[in-house]
Amino acid sequence: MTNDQFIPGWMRVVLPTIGLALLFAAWQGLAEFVVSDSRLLPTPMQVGSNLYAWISSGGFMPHLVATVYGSLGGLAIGAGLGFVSGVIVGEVRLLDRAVYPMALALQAMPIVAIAPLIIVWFGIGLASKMALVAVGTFFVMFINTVAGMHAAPAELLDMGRAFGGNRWRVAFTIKIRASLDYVFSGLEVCAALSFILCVVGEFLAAMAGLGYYLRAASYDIDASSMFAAVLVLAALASLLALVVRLAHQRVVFWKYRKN
Amino acid sequence: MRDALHLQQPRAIIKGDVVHRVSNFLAGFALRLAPIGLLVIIWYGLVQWLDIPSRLMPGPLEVGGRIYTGLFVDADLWLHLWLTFKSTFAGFVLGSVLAIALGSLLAMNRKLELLVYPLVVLIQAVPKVAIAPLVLLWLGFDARSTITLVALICFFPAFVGAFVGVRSTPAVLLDLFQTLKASGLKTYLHCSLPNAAGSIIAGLQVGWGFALVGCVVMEFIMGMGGAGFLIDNSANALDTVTAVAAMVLLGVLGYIGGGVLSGIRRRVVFWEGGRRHDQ
Repeated sequence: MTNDQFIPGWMRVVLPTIGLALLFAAWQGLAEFVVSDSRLLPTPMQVGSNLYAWISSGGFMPHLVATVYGSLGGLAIGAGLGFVSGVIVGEVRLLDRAVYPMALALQAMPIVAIAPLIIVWFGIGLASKMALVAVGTFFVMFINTVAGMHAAPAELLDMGRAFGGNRWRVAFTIKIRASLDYVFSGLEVCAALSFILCVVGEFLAAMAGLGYYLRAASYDIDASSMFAAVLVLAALASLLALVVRLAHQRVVFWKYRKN
Repeated sequence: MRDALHLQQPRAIIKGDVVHRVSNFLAGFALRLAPIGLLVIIWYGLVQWLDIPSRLMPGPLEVGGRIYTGLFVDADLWLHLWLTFKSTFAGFVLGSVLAIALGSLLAMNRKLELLVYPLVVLIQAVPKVAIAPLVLLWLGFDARSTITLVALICFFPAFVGAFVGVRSTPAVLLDLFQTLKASGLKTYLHCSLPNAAGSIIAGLQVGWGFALVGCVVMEFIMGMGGAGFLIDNSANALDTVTAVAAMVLLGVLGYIGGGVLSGIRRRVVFWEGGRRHDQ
């Protein structure tokens, strides 16, 4: 029950491996003996072969490309605009007082709820997915950037002014740099959010994309294909999160410096 | 003279305190509502100024009228709102309770933590919203599907909150409890859990927002009622007034949930963060 239990090094490798094996065994057992209907719950092997067949048949790329375009395109637009407007609002006090609380209040609304309206505005193609992702990621990025601008250490600001830096020089060299830690944390949230929003948009109305494929497979009661699509989505989201985290450590190096 | 002063003073302080508290409360209330009022004014101005047709983006007056009739005259919005609230709340409670239990358990037992670690990574890596069609396939067109998805989606923030909170219990306190021969359960209830309460509630606050998202997405693809269904259905019929009205009501649900949780946070973890600027 105490926190300072001694765990030998080999256990750190063996225990998670056992856990993973148990997980797969439970899945396999459940699929084979309890459900025993591959249309509802496929075994890990069936999912693997389904994924392989999907990729090698060439039906995979159009869906992958549509989802990646929608998510990353929307992310670039939303996060970019969110960052720029966050910097401006964080710097101009009047805007800060008026706009920042508004954004915080708006954040209480589940942003996916706007998806049907965006499809009405932008059609069922790629544009609506990008717009949906852009709207969702904009707010996260905006709020994080403004919070980061607020968090600039006062002594650094004082020093910048004492050395004769004018307002924009101080803003650019100190405030924005200090905000980067928040900005990258926001970007990490945005990365996960972008795939979620894109998939929801594709659930509702689309012509291609992993979400579209998932929903189509669910009409066919084809759980193997659904598992394959979820697997690909999880891999994409994890990859993007990893890239963002690495960039975070590279850019905000002073926080992650080894002592 | 002296006695009178002694008797008078405390009363004056209490009276001043009450006035102070009421005015504080009103000021806080106004401060909360001011941004929303400003938002509505900007919305009204934009719709008027750009002359946006109502079937693309209705103005706040129309939407307000629709909410009024929907809630108090025809009462057709209540049904959907109640359905959404019910499923979201049930799923939120289910997911959060499981998450807090598992998070606490793993934080107190390192071997178990290592064993369950792959499962936790898996739960985190999969975008929960994407498995909505799978959950629907398994559990059917039923509130059970919605509740399950909501529970899955709001699991992670509460889990992390509980895990980090319990893990960060000061070793001095644990040593003290051990010295006093407290049982494991007692140590948890009187030491680790209060220590973790702040971060658990912070996780719950994030989770409530996630929960609404999960519920709305499930209602989108299930199409059996609820605010999400109403938004999708009315947007498809170009009845954007109803769609935006339902969105506003969802926002109110999110706002009230967040407000209640931050109230609970102030009440329960009164020792943490006297003046917080973030909600």
